[in-house]
Amino acid sequence: MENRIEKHLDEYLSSYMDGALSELDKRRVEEYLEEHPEAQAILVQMKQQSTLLRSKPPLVPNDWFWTNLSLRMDRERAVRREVLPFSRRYIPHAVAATIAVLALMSVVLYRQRDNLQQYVAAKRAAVEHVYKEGILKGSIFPFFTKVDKNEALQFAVYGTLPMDEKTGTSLRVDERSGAGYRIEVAKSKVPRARSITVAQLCKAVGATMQQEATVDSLLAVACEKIQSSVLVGDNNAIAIHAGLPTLTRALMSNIASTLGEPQRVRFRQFLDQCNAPYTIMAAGAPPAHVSSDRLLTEMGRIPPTDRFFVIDPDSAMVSDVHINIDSLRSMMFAASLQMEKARERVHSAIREFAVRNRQRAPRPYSVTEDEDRISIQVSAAEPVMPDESFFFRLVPRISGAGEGGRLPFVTPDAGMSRSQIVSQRRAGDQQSSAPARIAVPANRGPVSLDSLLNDVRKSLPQRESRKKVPEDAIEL
Amino acid sequence: MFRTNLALREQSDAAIIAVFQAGDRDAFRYLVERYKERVRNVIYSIFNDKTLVDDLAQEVFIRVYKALPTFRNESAFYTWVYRIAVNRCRDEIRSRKLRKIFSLHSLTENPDETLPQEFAEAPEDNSARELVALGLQAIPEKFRLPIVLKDIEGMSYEEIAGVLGCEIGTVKSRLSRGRALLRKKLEPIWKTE
Repeated sequence: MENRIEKHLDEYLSSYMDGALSELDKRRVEEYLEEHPEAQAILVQMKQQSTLLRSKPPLVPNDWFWTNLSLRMDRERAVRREVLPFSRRYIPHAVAATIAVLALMSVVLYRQRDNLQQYVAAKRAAVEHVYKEGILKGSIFPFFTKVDKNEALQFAVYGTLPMDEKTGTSLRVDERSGAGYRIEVAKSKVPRARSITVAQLCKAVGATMQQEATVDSLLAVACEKIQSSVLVGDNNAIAIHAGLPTLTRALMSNIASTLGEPQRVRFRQFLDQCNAPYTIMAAGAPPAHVSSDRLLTEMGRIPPTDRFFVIDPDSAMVSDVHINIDSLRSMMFAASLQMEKARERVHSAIREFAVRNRQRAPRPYSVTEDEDRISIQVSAAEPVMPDESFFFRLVPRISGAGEGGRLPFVTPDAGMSRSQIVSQRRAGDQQSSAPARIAVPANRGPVSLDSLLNDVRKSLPQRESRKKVPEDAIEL
Repeated sequence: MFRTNLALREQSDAAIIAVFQAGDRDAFRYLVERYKERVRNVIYSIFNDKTLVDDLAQEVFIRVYKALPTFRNESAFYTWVYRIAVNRCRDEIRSRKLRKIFSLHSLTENPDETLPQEFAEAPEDNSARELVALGLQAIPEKFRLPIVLKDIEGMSYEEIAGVLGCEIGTVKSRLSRGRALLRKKLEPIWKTE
């Protein structure tokens, strides 16, 4: 039994501390503790940490929690209501109308399909141009906007692409393990691999000028593939092309195919020196010579799928979706144009509304500004909550009318020294002891705010202007 | 307008829920008033971050509000609320973890992997209580939650199993693993004593 306790000491002590052991087990643990002071020390530490956790003072209660929560719920309800610009009872009618419109559109589109295809084909070239220039407006854009040939080579050799240098996050792919393939976005914990360049590779294998040109072209194709294989959305969702792992294999295979047999041996040695996870081996009889055109054509076709894995960091959801990258480009371009037009329409509508509204009715507020102040005066016609809504009413306690017959704004004592603040307060207290007053409203009819203020002013003693007391006159 | 319904406020959870389910949505306020501090504190214990407590607690109660019409009193209301709160916290932890992975300008270290520097050095101006709370943040979520529910919230194994949606045996083993991990994280403190 002692062995068992020793083996599962943490579990036994934890249950012992919680009083969750049977009588028999409890006795055995107590016997064990008597014989093992180190276990006693562990138990004491466990109890201490538990006590410390429990003794942490609770948060200061939030008295505004319900108010804030109800405001947020109101906001969410308002947003949901805005989704439907009409009453819910019209939903069946709206659905029927939508179906009818869709059916009509389908018929029209079907009849016009040839024209549409021509139209799409004509636009595609323009869209490609826009995409290549990186002006893909909207919410999805390529994660790797610029991949150079050295990075593409490193991707082929190591299967990793650095995504964020600062956090060490990288994209890793592995297709060659024989058990399917793997795509990972992770913080790399392994030591950084040796950085390699195309020049180093060519030098290591002793590539001819023509071979160098072929490798260079292969890597150029790979760069483009990588750029269109990893997309990122506004919400940080990342879409990774399912065929990306194949690219590494294709690239390695095609680089090896450009080389002669002695050079392939050197290529293997190069991979060994780089500590690359994989090396090359001929699948059948080593190819004598493969034309660069054929290799480039093969590269262009890889990866031949439109499957993407979309990883949403907020919901931690991974979706397996099919995205036609060409149609996506077209859609994003069309959407960006539509957005631009809609934004313009909204702006012009707002401007038009503002102009018309200004002509029709006087504004219920006026704005005045001078050097250090901007003031918005809202007219009394604006709805305000009547005094009867409150249990208490606030009345002024400072005598003397402010600007325009209104009480002045009072600003905090910021910027003064503590002694200045105290001295001013004391001076004020000596001159007038008028306390802050909160009056329960009398049972009388509605009273205007101005007349109420006048009543209060009359009832207060007139103060003399405050004299500033020298700072050193008051001992703190 | 600002008067409260004292009679309803003093009723049991089941009675308030029945009133809510009968169509009086205002009754929800009394459930919120009753449990808001517990939910806020459990979130605070899990994250040790005051800045996100109110936001997450609001989201928890919005979820409760949406699901309350279908609540069937098969478990205690507070266990159910805790379950929603813990699930929301789990979502947040996963989301933070992923955001950290995806973040292009991550400024913080991963709390699940490393302790803050000041913790490792155990400076004198940090109380042991704060250090234990920090240590708790440094252990993985699946071990942290049972500790919060047991040692801070004082729940029974059965209640924790209900909240976390797992077996009692799992709760026991995670609790013991969690406590052991926490003890290990707190070794600098024990050594200085």
